[in-house]
Amino acid sequence: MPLNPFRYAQSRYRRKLNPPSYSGYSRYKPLLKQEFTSQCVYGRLPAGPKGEDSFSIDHYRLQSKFLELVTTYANLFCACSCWNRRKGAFWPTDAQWRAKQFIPNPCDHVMFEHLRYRSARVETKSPAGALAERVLMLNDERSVDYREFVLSVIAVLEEKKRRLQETISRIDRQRLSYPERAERLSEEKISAERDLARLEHHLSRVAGGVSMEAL
Amino acid sequence: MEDSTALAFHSALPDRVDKPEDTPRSVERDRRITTLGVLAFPLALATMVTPMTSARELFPIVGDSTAFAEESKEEGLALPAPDTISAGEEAFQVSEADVANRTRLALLARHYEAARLSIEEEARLAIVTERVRHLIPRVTEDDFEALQAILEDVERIKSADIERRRRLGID
Repeated sequence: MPLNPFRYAQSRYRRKLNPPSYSGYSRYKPLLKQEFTSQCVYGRLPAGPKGEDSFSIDHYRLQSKFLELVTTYANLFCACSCWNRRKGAFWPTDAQWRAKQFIPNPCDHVMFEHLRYRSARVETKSPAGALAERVLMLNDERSVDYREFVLSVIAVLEEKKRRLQETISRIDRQRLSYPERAERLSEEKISAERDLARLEHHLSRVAGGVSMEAL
Repeated sequence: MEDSTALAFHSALPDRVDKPEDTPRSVERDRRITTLGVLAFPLALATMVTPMTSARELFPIVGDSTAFAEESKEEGLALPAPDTISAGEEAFQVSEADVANRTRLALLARHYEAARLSIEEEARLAIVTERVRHLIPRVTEDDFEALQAILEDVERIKSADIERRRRLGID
């Protein structure tokens, strides 16, 4: 099964980290990255080649309405700065809660019941999913194009990784068959392994730390 | 009397007075319309957006989204200086983006509350949505270029592997 970061969890996520209380919420940022494997909880995009700068801390329950939760770890999520900003001060009204129109999060809701990916495009499965898609603009064309590009780069990386692994195993077989060439073959192997490590590094940046729970 | 009135009336028309001899009048009229359109568009946009600015009090966005810059400041990290835009321009863009987003959220709230927006509100929503898409982009050219750079490195790794396989007689 090819790597695909664009999947929503089919069960609620239970936080693994239990950090002490900090007076400033920004101190939770490294923990949130670890908790959510450096992937946006709304769009599922990994930190990627752009790096961690594209992420910000999302206060699921707004700072302006829930002052007591500003530094509460359970209220904080790892989200793309862009979705965070587009979400802005959105908070459902009572009528919207009754109509199940809210933005789901992976700890309180089963994301897959509300949103799913079909290739690079987000499909909505519930009123909450539809509202989230609309408020965050998850399907804006540039984002969809970018996700398609990410998926194609992942496919290329995986294919080249397989090819290099095959080269390495063939070198190993040659070392057994031709012990007199062992030194030269070792050098070739080291160089191939270095290239493989580079590919794996790229892959981890592009595909992110896709956790098994999210699949 | 009639003649002088007619003369005065005609001389008040700038296209007839200023128009070069060989310019068809339709061209002159189109130019006037374009100029008026250029002036009218921002005015119309301002008129459409201004009533929504009252939503600022209802949607105090600034305190609710945590920009990375803000987090870095809190963490005591130095922010890299922007390459292309000055701090003033950036601040203006930030507020412009937030105002547009606030307007968009207010319209969306109305959409969900009333189940249907008027044609004018729909148009306004489409305009501000487009503005937000532009001002708060999820991906930029840098994102695409970063992936492109990875593909270029993959190409180098692939060439090295082909060469390695050729040397070792693999394949």
